[in-house]
Amino acid sequence: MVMKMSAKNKSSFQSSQNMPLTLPPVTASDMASNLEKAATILLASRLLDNEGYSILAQQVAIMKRHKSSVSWTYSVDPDRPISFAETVDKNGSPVFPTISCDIVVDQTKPDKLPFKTLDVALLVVGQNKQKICRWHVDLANRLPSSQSASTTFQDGPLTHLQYGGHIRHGNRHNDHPLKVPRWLFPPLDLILLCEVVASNFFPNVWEDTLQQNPTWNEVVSTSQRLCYAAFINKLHSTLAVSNRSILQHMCASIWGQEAHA
Amino acid sequence: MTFKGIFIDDNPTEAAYADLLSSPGSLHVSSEKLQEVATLATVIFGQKPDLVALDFRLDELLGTLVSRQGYKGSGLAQLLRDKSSADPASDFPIILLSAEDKIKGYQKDNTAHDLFDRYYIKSEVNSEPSRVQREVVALCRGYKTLKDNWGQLNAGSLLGITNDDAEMVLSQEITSSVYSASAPHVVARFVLRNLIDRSGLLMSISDIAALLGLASAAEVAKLEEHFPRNTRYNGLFSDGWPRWWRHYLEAWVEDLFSSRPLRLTGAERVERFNQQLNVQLVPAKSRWNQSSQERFAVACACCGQPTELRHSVLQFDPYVPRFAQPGRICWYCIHTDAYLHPLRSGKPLIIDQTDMSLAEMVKGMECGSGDEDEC
Repeated sequence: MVMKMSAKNKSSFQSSQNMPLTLPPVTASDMASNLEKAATILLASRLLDNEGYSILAQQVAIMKRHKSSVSWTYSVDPDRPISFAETVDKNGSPVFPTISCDIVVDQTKPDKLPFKTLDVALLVVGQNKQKICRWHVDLANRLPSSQSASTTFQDGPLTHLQYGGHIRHGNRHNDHPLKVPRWLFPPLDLILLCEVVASNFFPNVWEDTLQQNPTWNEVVSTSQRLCYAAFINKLHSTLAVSNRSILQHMCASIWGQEAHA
Repeated sequence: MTFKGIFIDDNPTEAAYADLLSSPGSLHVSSEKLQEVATLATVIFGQKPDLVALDFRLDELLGTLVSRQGYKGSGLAQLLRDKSSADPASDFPIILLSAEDKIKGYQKDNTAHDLFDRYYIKSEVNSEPSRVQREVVALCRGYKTLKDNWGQLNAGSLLGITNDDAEMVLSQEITSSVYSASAPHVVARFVLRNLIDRSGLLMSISDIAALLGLASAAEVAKLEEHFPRNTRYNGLFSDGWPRWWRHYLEAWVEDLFSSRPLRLTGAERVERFNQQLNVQLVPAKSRWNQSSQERFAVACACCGQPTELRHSVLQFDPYVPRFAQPGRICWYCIHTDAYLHPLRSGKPLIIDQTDMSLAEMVKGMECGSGDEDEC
């Protein structure tokens, strides 16, 4: 069964035949409830341990205070990330996916990307917490400009997937020397990143347990609507335009200016 | 060896239950009269019993006692446990044996739950004497094993596992619980509550029916001869509560099917069994939509029937150890409110708040509906 959309969402949802997608905002209490559900399901599936659950629970408690607000924030400190269960690499060595994030949501402008800050990171570590590899999805950084009043952005797509990135408290000389490529990528929140981790590192559990859980699918579905709607609208609006590529339309210098207009 | 048991009930006419608990050659249970609680505890302990069975309400027919001397079975049990903690070599199982209405009083009294290894309703002793006798004898044997090895317990030996399996089975939760226990009854409580009573490392016949997608325990019995060696649990209390090792069963099924069982529907699993093992098995049917085309995963915590994840909700249980599976309640038991009066445990089950809104939706649905996709 696919969970039926609540009446609230159903009344505002337009079919993909009619763009742009217009979806009701996700309130702080909605997201708090979903984070709590996701944490419980991941704990029950043994993908998270009690510490990971309690880290999420702390964020849930903070967000619940904001109740029906459509602007909210939550973060998981990279110094105390959410660590998933042990898995192994191709050599049989233990590895642990860990995730952290810094997310500030602003849904007051329904036709804009709903994120003021977005940085979700997956860091895979070894038995002794040594870094193996890191990816993150974030918004292009805004750069200070002394030449003009307009905002300038770093190169690349406004929302992107990037390998490496700076690990806090680490020596920047140890950062991966390549900052590129930055792949055009839709925004992800913590719940969507949890699903990415589950599907890639624990595919059996993802397929046998999470996929079969209607509550998990509903929770992911809400995060998808939050993260993907503006991205899909932008993609769709540029598909019919041939004077520029999608990558050009969605680079930070163009889409970023529109998003912050 | 014939174990010695003592039964205490404030109603002298209930002494017949001592005979019902007894099994010739294995356990002889005698009645003991009600006395002042501390005196009675000393008398019982002095007899070095292998089992003590108590009624919950010992304060209704006081006999020679006055009202202020009245006490419940839990009060006596606490004194007995205190003595056992001080003298582990004299520890023994304590079971509750009461009428149904009094058992409900016990179920509400959370402080008493840790005192008793098991509780039995008198009517089930009447209707299933063989099962009850088997279980209480198993308790006696299990405690004897613990006492005989007290001070040098080996968790692996207690659970009857091979050295190869020790790394997989013996988590820190298990070893720390066994090795830090102050008395045999602490180990017994841990094994009963977390290994025997929970689906996880060990599986009951209902759990196996769900994993294999089979209609009933009788169908499982047809396959047992094909199970790998060592699948049957033969550790502590195994003679009272038949259990099987999950990791053996799952590996066997994966090998047989070349696939994880949960990737297949019940009908598909049975088809493969029938083809590969030349058997005639009957697949489980979902209690929600009567279909065998479901991916059965667990036994419902309420009705015990094979249940698919997508038509079940999470049971609230804050005490699930990491090696156990959280319980799930099938939609049918939610829809019919059966979870409020489960046959197996008697105590109402609680839905985890994660799935509370889903459960409310299920209560309002038509049975068997809800499988259509919707935008």
